[in-house]
Amino acid sequence: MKVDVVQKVLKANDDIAKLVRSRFDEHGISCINMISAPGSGKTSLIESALKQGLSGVRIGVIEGDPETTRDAERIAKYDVPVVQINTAGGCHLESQLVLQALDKLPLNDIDLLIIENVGNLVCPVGFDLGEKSRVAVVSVTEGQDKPFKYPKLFHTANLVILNKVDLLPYVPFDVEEFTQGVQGIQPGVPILHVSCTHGDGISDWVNWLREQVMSDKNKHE
Amino acid sequence: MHELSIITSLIEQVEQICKEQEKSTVSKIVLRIGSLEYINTETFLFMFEQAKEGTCAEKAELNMIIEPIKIRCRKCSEIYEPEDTIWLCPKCNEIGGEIIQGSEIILESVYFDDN
Repeated sequence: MKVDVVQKVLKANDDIAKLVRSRFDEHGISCINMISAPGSGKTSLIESALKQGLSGVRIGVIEGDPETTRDAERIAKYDVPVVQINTAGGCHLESQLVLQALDKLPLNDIDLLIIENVGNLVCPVGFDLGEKSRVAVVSVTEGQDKPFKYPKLFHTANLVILNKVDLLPYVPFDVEEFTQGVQGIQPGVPILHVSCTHGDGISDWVNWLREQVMSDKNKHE
Repeated sequence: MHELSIITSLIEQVEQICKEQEKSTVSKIVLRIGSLEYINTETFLFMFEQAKEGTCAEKAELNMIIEPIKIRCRKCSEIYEPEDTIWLCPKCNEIGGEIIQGSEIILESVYFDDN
């Protein structure tokens, strides 16, 4: 006997992501999901935004890592609500983990929730966390071929950040090829050039974050 | 290693269908896997064999149909299978478009032993 099903296998994750999204709507929270390889500078980008401040926008952070609370400790220094999710070896965050983390956050006191996913360019991409926007981060030491090798991430990203641009004089990174690769997958997606250590592009990054919150606020009014 | 999460989700779905159909043994599962999902089919099969033990899918054979990426050109609406990671329309040379196939994993059908 054959039963036709035709259902997405990750439907369970998608359903919980919908629930997470409705919680965000309820509390007027804009959520960003940051995806990159390990060591591209996701935590540093969050720290840079916190250092500069978003003038009145209240930030909360969820940190995803296989082990340790190191990233959450870095973020807690800025006196913002932060939850560390340890995936115990898991290579990506799932919506269920985010849903559980929401119970530990003061949702009424957050306008922008930044989720730092587990460092990985493959696995996190297929799992909706209920975010409004996705940010893909690549650092110049990783090479310009990332968009060609991991097209799905770049197809689903709302913003691409090229980080550690202060190192460009020292590494053979072809910015033009990288840009063509990204634009070839998703024409028109914004690409920011950033250096967290020298401060280049941080105001563009902060402005982009502020726009995410403002466009949601306009929608609610 | 996102394969394991997908398999766990798959087995939960199949168990649910078993319950609905009031069956105890699944003989075959048919999955459509999009090429853009980066599924290593050997890893997937290996993990499925481990994960199915003790479930209604214990005796099930897994049939994986790999689906190529299909793009609808954002300019001329031509549907094509890109030859490269840059999605270049063969008709009008426009870059990029909407993914209409290849970015999902779909549980297509489940077969049960008739007796």
